[in-house]
Amino acid sequence: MDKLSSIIINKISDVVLGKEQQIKLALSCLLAKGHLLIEDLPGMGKTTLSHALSAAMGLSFSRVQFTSDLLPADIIGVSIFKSDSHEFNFHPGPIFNQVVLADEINRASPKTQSALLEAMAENQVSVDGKTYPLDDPFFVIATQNPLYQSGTYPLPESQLDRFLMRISLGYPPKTAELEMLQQVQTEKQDYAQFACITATELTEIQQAVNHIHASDSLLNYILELVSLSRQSSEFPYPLSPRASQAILQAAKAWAFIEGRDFVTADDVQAIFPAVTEHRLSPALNAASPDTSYSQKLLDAVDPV
Amino acid sequence: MKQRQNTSEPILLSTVLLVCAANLVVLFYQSLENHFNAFFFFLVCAAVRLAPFFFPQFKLKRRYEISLFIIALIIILTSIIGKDILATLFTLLVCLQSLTILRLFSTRELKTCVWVLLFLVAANLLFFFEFQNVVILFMAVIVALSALINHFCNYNIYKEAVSRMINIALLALPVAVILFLVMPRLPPLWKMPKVESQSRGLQDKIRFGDIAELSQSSNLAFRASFDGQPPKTSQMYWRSFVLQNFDGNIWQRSEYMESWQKLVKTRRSGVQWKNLQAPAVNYQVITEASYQNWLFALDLATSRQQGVISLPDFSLYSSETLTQKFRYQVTSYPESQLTDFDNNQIKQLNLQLPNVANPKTEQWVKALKQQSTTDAELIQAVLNYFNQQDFYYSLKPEVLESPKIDDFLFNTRTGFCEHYAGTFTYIMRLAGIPARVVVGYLGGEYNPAGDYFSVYQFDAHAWAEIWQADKGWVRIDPTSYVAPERVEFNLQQAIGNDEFLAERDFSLFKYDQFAAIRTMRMLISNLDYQWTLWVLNYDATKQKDLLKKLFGETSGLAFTLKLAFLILGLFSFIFVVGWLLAHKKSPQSQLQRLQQKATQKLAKKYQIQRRQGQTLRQLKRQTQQHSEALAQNWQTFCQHFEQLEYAPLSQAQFKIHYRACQQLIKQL
Repeated sequence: MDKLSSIIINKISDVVLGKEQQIKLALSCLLAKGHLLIEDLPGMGKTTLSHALSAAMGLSFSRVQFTSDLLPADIIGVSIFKSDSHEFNFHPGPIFNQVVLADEINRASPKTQSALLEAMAENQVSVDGKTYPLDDPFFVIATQNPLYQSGTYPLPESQLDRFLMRISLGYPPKTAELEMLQQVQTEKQDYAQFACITATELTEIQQAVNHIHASDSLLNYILELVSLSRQSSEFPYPLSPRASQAILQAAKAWAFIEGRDFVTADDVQAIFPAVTEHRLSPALNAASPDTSYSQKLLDAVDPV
Repeated sequence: MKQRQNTSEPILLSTVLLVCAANLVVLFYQSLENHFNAFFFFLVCAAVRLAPFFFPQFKLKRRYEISLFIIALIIILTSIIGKDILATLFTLLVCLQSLTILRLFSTRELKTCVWVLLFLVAANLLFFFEFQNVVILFMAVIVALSALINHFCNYNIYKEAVSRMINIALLALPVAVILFLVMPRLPPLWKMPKVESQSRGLQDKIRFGDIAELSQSSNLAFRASFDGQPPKTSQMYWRSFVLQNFDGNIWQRSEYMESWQKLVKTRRSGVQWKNLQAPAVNYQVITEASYQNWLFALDLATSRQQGVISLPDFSLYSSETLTQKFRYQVTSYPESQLTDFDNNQIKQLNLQLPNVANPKTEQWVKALKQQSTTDAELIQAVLNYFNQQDFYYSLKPEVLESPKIDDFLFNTRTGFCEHYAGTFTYIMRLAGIPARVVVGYLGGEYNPAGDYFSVYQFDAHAWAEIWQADKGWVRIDPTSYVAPERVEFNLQQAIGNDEFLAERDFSLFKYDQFAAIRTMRMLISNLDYQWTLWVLNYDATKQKDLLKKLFGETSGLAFTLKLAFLILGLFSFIFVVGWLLAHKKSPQSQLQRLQQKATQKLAKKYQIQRRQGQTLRQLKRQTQQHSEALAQNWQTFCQHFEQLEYAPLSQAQFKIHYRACQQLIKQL
C-alpha cells in the first residue's frame, strides 16, 4: 500500500474504528475528485468520518445540517444591503469551504438539495447575477438516512449520479466497538494536529491519480460490465457513460492507494459496488435489500 | 487482426486510392490493347470518386451521374460496331469496372472491383507475358489485395496494408512455385482467338527493299543457345526459307515447295536426311511469336522434335503457326554436302526466269560467259564486278525502275542484301547455273551472362545458293563482296550508327557505345530469356525432366509413392503454415493461455474452481486453505500476471514476467 495513504488511513482509523474498507473508499473518492454520499442510520459515525477525513487532508471544513425548512441561501450565502455604504454585500455561506458535510441531505426540500447539487456540478455559485467560484479542492460529503425513515425527500436519480460513490458504514465489529467503549472519553478530538498533507499536496496527488495506467484489457473489462447492465433487462437503470468514467477514475484512485501505477481488475471490483450501486438502484429496495445489482454484474463478467 | 463486423462501414480514402492505383496499372495495359476510350473513361470515374475526399463540398449531381452512364453505353456501342467481339467484351468489362469505382461506397462493390481486377490481370497476362509485365501486374494484384486488407482490418495506413499483403504474398510464393513445378501441365483448353492481321518478321514474298525496311526494327526474332562451342558469328547463316520464283520484281516460293508445306500441314511429314557428315552442332532455339510457320536453323539442320519438320530445301517448318514463343532443339551438320538430288528437277525449279527481260544484263552475262571457261571463273567475275564497281550497301536504296535488274546493275548501284542476292541469283540463272535466294538472319548478339545469342529483326539477311553437281548446294553471299563488315561484324558496323535504326531514336541499341546502357540492356534481355526458357516454356516434357532429376525414374510404384508423398507434404505444409498464422501469438492470447493454464492446474490439482467474475487474486483465499506455500506461490504468480495484463511494459519486461509466470505455474 502507498505509504502516505496508509498513514492517512491509520490516522482516520484511530477515530473511526474497524471501518478500514470504508475509509479507503472515502479516501479514493476524494483522490478521484468525486463527491461522496454516505447512507446510514444515525449514530454510525458518518460525521466523525467526514470530519476526520477533511482534517487529515488539511482542508477547511464546514457542516450544514439539512432540515426541511433549510433554504438555498442558508448554504450558499446571502447579499445583505449595507445602509452605510448603500450597496449589497455578499456573505458567503458554508459552501465556501473545501470540505462541506451536508448532513441528512434527504431531509431538506428538493429546492435546497438542487442548490447544493448544482454547486457540486458547476464548482461555482451564482448569487444575484454574480458568479463566485468555489474552493479547490472542493469535496462534498453528504449523508442521508435510509429512505424508509419518515420525513425524508429522496434524491432524484439524476442527482444521485453526481455522487461518485455511495457507501454505508454499518455497525462496527464487536472488538472495535469494545475498544471504542474502553477508550477514555477525551473532551474533544484535537483535529488541529491531525493534518497529514496540505491542500496543494492533495492537488498533486489528484494529478498523479489521473496518470495511472489503465491497459486496454482493463478498459475492456469496464466496458463489458457497463454494456451488460444496458443489455440485460434485469437492470432497471443502466449505467451511463458518466458511470463508466467514474468507475475508471475511482479504480485509478484505488490503485494509487494500493501503491500501484496501473489499474487491475481487483481495483475495479473493489470500488465497483460503491460507484455503481446507487446508479443501478436509486431507491434502495426495501423489499429485498440484499439483492445487489452491482454484485450481479461482477459475477457475470470474467475479468480480462 | 480485428475483423470488421459491420460491412456497411464507409470505404476509406486509402482503400479507394489503392484500388484506383491497381486499376490504373491494369487498365493501362488494356488501353494498350486499343481500349483507349474506356481507359479514359476510367480516369474520369476515378477522379469523380476521389474528388469528395479532397473537396468536401463536391457532390456529383444526379444528371451528371446519369450522363456518365450514358457515356459508358456509347463507348460500349461504338466498340460493338467497330471491333470484334473479344475487344467489345473487354471494353464492356473496363467500363463496368469504371462505373463500379464511381459508386464504390460499400464492401460489396469493393469485392466486385477486386475480383474483376484479378480477372483483367489474368487476361492481360495472355497478351503481355514478358517478365517485366508479369512483375508489374503482380504488383498491381498486391496493391489491389492490400486495398481489401486495408478495408477489412481498418488500417488506413498504406504502408501497413501493403507490407502485410507483401508478407502474405511472400509466404504464398514458395507454394506457388511448387505447384507450378509439380501440377500436371494440361494442354490449353482453348486457343487464343487473337489473329494477328500481319505476320511479323520475314515474309515469304520478297520485293526489293523489303528486308531493308525490316532492318529498321529492333524487335527480337529468336534466341539460340549452343550446347558446345558456337560457330563464328560470321558463319551464322540462320536459314529461314528459300525463294525460287522470280517475276522480275518479286521473289517467292515455288509451287513445288509450297506443295511440301501443305503436306506438312495435312500429314505432318517431311524429309529425312541421310549421309550427314560430322561434326554436328547442337543448339536450341526459342522463336518469338511470328504468326508464321518458318523456323530458323543453321545449315544443315535436322530436328527430332515433334512438330518441327524438314523441307527439301533444307528449311525447318513448324506444323503449327507460331502464335507464341516456341522452343525447339536442333542439330546442324555444317559440313554436309548432299548431292543425291534429282538434277532435272533442280534445273527445272532453279533456272526459271521472269517474263520481263533485262536486256542490258543479258548482254553483259553473255559477254562474261564467253570470256570465262568454267563456272567458277564466271562466278568470280560477277562477284569481282560487285566488289570493284562502285556498289553501295544501304538501308535506304533508291526505288528501282523497270526493268529492275538493269536499273540496279547499271544505274542506281545502291542496295541492301536482297538486291545483291536477288541480282546474283538472276545472273547465275542467266548463265545456266541453278541458283536460288535464301532468306534468314545473319549473325546475332552474344549475351555472356545467359550464354545465348539474340537475333533481332535488323539481322535479317538474304543470300544466294548455287547448285553444283559435285558439291550440292553451295552458299554464296554477294553482300560480303560489297560490305564485308556486315558479315564480319553486324549491320550497325556496316552502315554506321547514324543510319542504323534511324527511325527509332529511343531504341537502346543506339546507345550501345555507353558501356552502362549496353550492360543494362544485356541484363534485361537475359532476364527475359531465362523467364522464357524456364517459365513460359515449362511444359510437360520439361516437367518430366525435372521430376526425373529430382526423383530418378519417373514410372513405377516408387515414383507414384514419392509423388503422393510430395503432394501430401505440400498440403500439410500449407496446413501447418495456415494453422500457425491463425494461432499466431498475440500478447493478449498468450496471456489468455497463461491464465487458463494456471486456473486449470488449480482446478485439477487442488480442486479450486474459479467462479465466473472472480479475479485471480481472489483465488488466494482458497489456496490458503491448502497450504501457505501454495498461497505464497499463487500470490507471486498473480503479481507477475497483473504486471503482464495491466501494466505498461517494454518488450524485455514482458519477457521477464512471462517467464516468471511460466516458472510459477510449474511450481504450483
